[in-house]
Amino acid sequence: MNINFIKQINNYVIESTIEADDDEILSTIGHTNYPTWEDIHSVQDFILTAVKCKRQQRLEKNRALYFDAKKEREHSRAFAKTTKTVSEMFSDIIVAMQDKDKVPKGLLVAFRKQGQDGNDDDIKELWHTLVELGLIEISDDDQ
Amino acid sequence: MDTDSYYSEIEVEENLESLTQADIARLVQIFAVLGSSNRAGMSGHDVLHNAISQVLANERPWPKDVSVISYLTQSGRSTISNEEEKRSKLLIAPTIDEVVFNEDNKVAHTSAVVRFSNPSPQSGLESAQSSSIIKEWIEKVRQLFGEDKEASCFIEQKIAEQKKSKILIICEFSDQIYRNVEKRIKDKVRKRFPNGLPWGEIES
Repeated sequence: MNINFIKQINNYVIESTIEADDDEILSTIGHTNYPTWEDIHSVQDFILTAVKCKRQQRLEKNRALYFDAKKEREHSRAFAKTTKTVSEMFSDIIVAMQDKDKVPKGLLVAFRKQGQDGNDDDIKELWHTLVELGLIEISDDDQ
Repeated sequence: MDTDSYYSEIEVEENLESLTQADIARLVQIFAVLGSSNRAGMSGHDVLHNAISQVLANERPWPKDVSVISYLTQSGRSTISNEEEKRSKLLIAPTIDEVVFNEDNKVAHTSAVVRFSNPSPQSGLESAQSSSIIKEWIEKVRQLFGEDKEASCFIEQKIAEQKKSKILIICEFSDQIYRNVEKRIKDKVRKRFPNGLPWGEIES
């Protein structure tokens, strides 16, 4: 006796379930050996909640990406528009560096090196980095 | 991902939201036929919840030419197989408490270890019982089509595992008659055995 025949019959039951009219399928709900309305509503609620949760996660992720990009744009714009001279930037850097609790050690080393040998571009770059780190505040007057 | 061939995240969500009550009923029924309860110990709607979660997590890309019913059926089928495998491992593996070590640090031949490494002495009996169950179910299907000569011929040839080309000759069917008889059988077995035949309970 073969089990393949039993599996074939089950495949027929599945194919017929897929092919049957919606009205026929709906008329069986709640009968013995068929799904209950509770089953159907439980799945509908599950889909509603799961899709809503997925959309919320996507929204939050996109919102975070948007604000990161916006912040980056604002810093770049501030740097591009600033009217400060190199010596003013250098003064800003000196002031920022005096707050040793906030300034990372690596930056202090880089500052000392650039302070000794650095050119104008190095100072501009360091000023930009400190603006990005929030160690130098830019007022509207600077733009 | 190739967005021409596969659904995007947003399209997947829309597809799931478009499932009708009839579609959900179909899927729950299909999982019952696939053995959600006797193979995986899960209800049909639990399997469907699981399948929906997997689809939403984008674990496998969903090709656009596969319908929502087919895709969720495949996903649910995998869930049932995986759960069945997990359950079978739990049943045959001895627990750490059952494993006893000898003085020379070798695993002792306790009943648990022997059970794990050798076929059950009852396997012959189970095989005979399975054969009896299969015979019983085949007889039920035969009886269902006792009055329908075309369907009976079709069924007998399917039991003998004949291919369509042979069935056409032996039962003297045209292609159209073959399709009609097959459709008649499909609909009748669905109405008589809505949860299918319990092959998951049979030791193969």
